[in-house]
Amino acid sequence: MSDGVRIRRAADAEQQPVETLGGSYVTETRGKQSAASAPSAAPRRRWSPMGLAALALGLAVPLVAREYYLYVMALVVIEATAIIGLSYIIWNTELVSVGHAAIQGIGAYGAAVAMNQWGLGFIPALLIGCVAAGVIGLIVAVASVRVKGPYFTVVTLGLAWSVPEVLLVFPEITGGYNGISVPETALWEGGHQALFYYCGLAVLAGAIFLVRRMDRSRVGRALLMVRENEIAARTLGISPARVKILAITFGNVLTGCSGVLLLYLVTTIAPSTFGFSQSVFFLTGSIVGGIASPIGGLVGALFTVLVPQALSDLSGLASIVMGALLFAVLLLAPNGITPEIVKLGRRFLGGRRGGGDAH
Amino acid sequence: MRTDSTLLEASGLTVRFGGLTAVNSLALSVGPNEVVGLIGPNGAGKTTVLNALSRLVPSSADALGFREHDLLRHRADQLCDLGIARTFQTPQIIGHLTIAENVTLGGFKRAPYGFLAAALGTRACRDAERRLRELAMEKLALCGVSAWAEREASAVPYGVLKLTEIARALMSDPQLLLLDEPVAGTTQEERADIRRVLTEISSTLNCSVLVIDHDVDFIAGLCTRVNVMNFGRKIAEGTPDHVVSDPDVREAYLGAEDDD
Repeated sequence: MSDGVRIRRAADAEQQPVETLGGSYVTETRGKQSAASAPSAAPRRRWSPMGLAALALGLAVPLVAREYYLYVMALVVIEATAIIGLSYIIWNTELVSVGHAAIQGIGAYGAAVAMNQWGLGFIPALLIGCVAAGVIGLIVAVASVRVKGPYFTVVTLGLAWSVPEVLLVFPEITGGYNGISVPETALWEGGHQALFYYCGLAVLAGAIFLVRRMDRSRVGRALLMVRENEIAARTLGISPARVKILAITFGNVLTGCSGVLLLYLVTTIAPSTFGFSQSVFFLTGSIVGGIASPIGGLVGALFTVLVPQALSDLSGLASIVMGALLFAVLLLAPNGITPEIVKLGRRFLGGRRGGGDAH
Repeated sequence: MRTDSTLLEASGLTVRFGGLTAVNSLALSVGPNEVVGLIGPNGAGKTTVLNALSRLVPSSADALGFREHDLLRHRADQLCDLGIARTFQTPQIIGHLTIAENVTLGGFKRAPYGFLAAALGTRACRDAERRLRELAMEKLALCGVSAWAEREASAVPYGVLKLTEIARALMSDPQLLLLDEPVAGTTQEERADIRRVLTEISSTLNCSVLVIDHDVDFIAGLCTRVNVMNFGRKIAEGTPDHVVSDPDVREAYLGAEDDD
């Protein structure tokens, strides 16, 4: 509703000069307007200089970072995929999940069980992990999305607490407290760290690409309309619950996928890997990076992975510095730091104005 | 008054908000290709009638039929499929999208490609998107605002937004268009444009219109039949001339206006 008012104000301001011209603008300005708007229709959004620069940097990482540092950067691209899944949900449905690490854990455990119990290979296990996360996420969404208010958040909170506990109930399958190990991946331990990193980077790039594409699809537009005005959306034939459930499932599949990659990277996972504090970390990454664009997920992951690494010498102080940084970001850039970076980048690298980057 | 094949038929339509009865046992009908007006003073319950017809507020009725369907058995988001579309008093247009993009929102059911097709960008999905866009341009042309298609919605005059919302509603090829004050807040020239567009829609699209407004001249010039409401009840029905000369209407509606 408030947006309608805002539009109306802008329109009223615009209306004055048109009125003074006399006659009907609808007919009067027709020729002039179509001539002016013709060129803007031609080029569609393509690669921006900033996107290319980020991709080049991402590809160059294995040239400068080795062993431990490359491991950390692989962690960054994996967690970035998880945060993109979370941000997609928050941005599109305005529902906040506080149990996102549990979804990642379901993906990871799904793949681990598929490999250890059923002897599946990496790729089939990856699919199993994604499907498992998607299905559990779908159940949570169906159960809570129709009700207004904080129910979704509460249900995901339940997920955050119960998933690690449930994993302990079946130690013969999940390994209990000690967790579960998968055969070391030929990719990482076999001296192919760079290749593994590139696989993670490819998944991250794929996630960004998919989110962009979803935003421009009919479901993306429907979600936009629901966010703008749920009542108007319903009169257009859009079922708010249905498109929100779709969005939540999509976000959860991305996160489940990141969980499987995490499993392949660390090879041993335990319930504590996916505890509530990890969920809070994801949420922090979402907020710091900014939820509007998938690039925010990468920025958020850089923050939540690299800052604690950089501060690890400070031991106890690390959390305090982390909290202070989060506070500073919320004060200075309430929409996350990605829009600010994009603004800066445009100034130095040029490139198109507007579009999907900043929103 | 009623034709044999009534498109919309409501009787005993009642809407209560807590203790307040906003619409009280209202009877209303719209025939095929008919333009019906609903007027009344502020707070008479006109918008509530429209909201009840579009199933946005809980309502009770002896009968609420649209063609062969019982609207009481349908949710708001299913009416679009049945052939009912509507607009709002304040256009619900997304400011940061272009006018054309906003209109494509009305075609949610017209491009039924799935989630996976969208993610993979299949040919079916691209074709559906292209057709949707062509359809949107067609509807914008019908409403006489195609010149604004590529403009961001936050930067166009109010009257264009009003017409954009009508174009968006037409995306589902409705048989009944519910318009909530289509000329409220518009200039005299815009009113003429909107009236011309609505006349054209009703005569060429095989689409009936139920329109609410304060502007009696606008309604009289557009509608073949007018219902007058006051305090949630219908107080008169008939041709525009008949209604305007009705003493009850003069007292309730026009008289009240004179007092202002």
